[in-house]
Amino acid sequence: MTAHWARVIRHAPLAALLIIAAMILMAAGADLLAPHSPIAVRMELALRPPWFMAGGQHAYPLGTDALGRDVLSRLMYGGRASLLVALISISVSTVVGTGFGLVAGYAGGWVDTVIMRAVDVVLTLPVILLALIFVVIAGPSLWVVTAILTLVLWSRFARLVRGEALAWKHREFVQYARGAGSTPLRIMCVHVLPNLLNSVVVLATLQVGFAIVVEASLSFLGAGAPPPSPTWGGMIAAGRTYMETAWWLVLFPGTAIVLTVLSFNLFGDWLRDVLDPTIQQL
Amino acid sequence: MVRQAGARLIEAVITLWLMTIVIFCLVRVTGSPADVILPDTATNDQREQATKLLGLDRPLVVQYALYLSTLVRGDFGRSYTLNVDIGPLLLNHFWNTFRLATASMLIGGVLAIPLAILAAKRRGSAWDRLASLVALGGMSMPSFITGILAILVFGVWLRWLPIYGAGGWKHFILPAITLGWFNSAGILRLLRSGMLDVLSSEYVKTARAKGLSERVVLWKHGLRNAALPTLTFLGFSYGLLLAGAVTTEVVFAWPGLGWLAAEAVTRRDFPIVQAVTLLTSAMIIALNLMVDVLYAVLDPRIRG
Repeated sequence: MTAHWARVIRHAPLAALLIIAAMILMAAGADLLAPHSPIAVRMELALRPPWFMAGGQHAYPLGTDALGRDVLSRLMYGGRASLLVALISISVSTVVGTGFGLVAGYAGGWVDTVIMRAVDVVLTLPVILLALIFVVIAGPSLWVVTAILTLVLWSRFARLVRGEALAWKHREFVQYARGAGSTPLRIMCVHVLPNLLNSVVVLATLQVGFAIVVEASLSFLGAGAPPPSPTWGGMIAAGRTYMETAWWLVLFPGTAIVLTVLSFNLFGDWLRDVLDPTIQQL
Repeated sequence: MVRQAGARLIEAVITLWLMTIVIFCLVRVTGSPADVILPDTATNDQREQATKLLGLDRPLVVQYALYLSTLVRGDFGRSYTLNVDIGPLLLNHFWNTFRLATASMLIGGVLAIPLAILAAKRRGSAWDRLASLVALGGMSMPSFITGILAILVFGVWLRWLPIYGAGGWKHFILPAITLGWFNSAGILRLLRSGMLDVLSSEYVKTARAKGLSERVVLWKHGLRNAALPTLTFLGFSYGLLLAGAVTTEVVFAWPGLGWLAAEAVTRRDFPIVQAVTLLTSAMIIALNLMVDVLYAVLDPRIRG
């Protein structure tokens, strides 16, 4: 036991955990930590380079954008948007997907067929294009992004939980509980669900990176929060025009996305090795 | 076998039909197409007129039936802003998307398949570490960021390659490598773990014990058995490339389907976005179907 835990801790992705902690801290504390307003326009400060370059100032350590806004402050608020979208969409789809998966796996029959058919349809949806339809009709907002992500993500949880529920439902203790007269709801919640929680937690962690990538892609395409709200994807889209002269406008938000996604993927991989090495997932 | 394929075909058609319902409902639930076409200054009379003209005052079921019947006849409707039929437009842009997707599949495969085999054969070696690095990068870097970084380095700083548009073969290099890298991540992970499983199996030990050469063991006994899950992934990701390369096409201004849809969004031309979504869903479903059938051909255990 102790040897196992020693091995687990030795293999913990320390850098990834630090980056995740830093990102969460900056996103949550942006109001206190950000040195400047993320949206106040000051044209006289436009396109200042980062502090280590000629013309850069320590007051604007990562430079300013074409409207003179501080890049570091915008990165902090943009991180808040990305993490919030990921948190809300994954929380909702974990609950919804686990519920549908449990019912499908435990009930079987036509209920199972209907739910699994819906899962199949959702899994073939082209996420980005579907979000674009939404955006044309309803206008761009982070709520559209969150809704689309939830619509797509619940199916992954449903499929995983259904498979596991099928495996657990024939175990002896579940059969005993049924023989003793437990209701199906009670059996699912008390006897089956607790055995699945590890897998669900691992899957949820592994989806954070996906959620952030989709949010960033949609914000990049102009389907996320409308300007002037800062998002990482939106910052890259706006900075693209100035790439020849102001590389920091695309490189810093790009690095923020890659570091965050990479860290959550490494953290998820580690969590899987610790909690549930059997989950197969790309 | 033929019956199985037939059953899968029927399932695929049902999935596609459900997809039309999902898209139709999403569009109608989130707002009225009349509001999308008209400017904000339109009067109520004009709104009513447009609603009548587009048939939006009829019951939803009737509207859906009309929508489906035009679709079945291969009519994708007309673009609001370009004033052309959408069908031919889709065909033109599909050709560009198809060329790019195929090129990036080839690059991803050429890069990933030998590397995955090498990584599995020499587990823990430098090759293995390189493979997991490439896979981790491909998984964690959204392709639009890879694309922009590639443009920054090779287009803006080094000025080696053209950075946007479709023209000669040079235009393929950056977008195809960008998408190919993304693609290789999945191949690397799946094929490596598949090969590891197979190489430690009893029949590979038997084959080695029989004194077969390492090449025969690796390629004939190893790869053929490890390749099946990778094949599913390849079909799936080819579908995604045909559908989901929206951001990469936008980054490189590559005039494919995704670029067409993203451009249409800026003009709020929703019939185009709707048509592209439906077409790409159909392609994903068709590819999944083909992979299923191919799977049954290659793996005797699945044949009923």
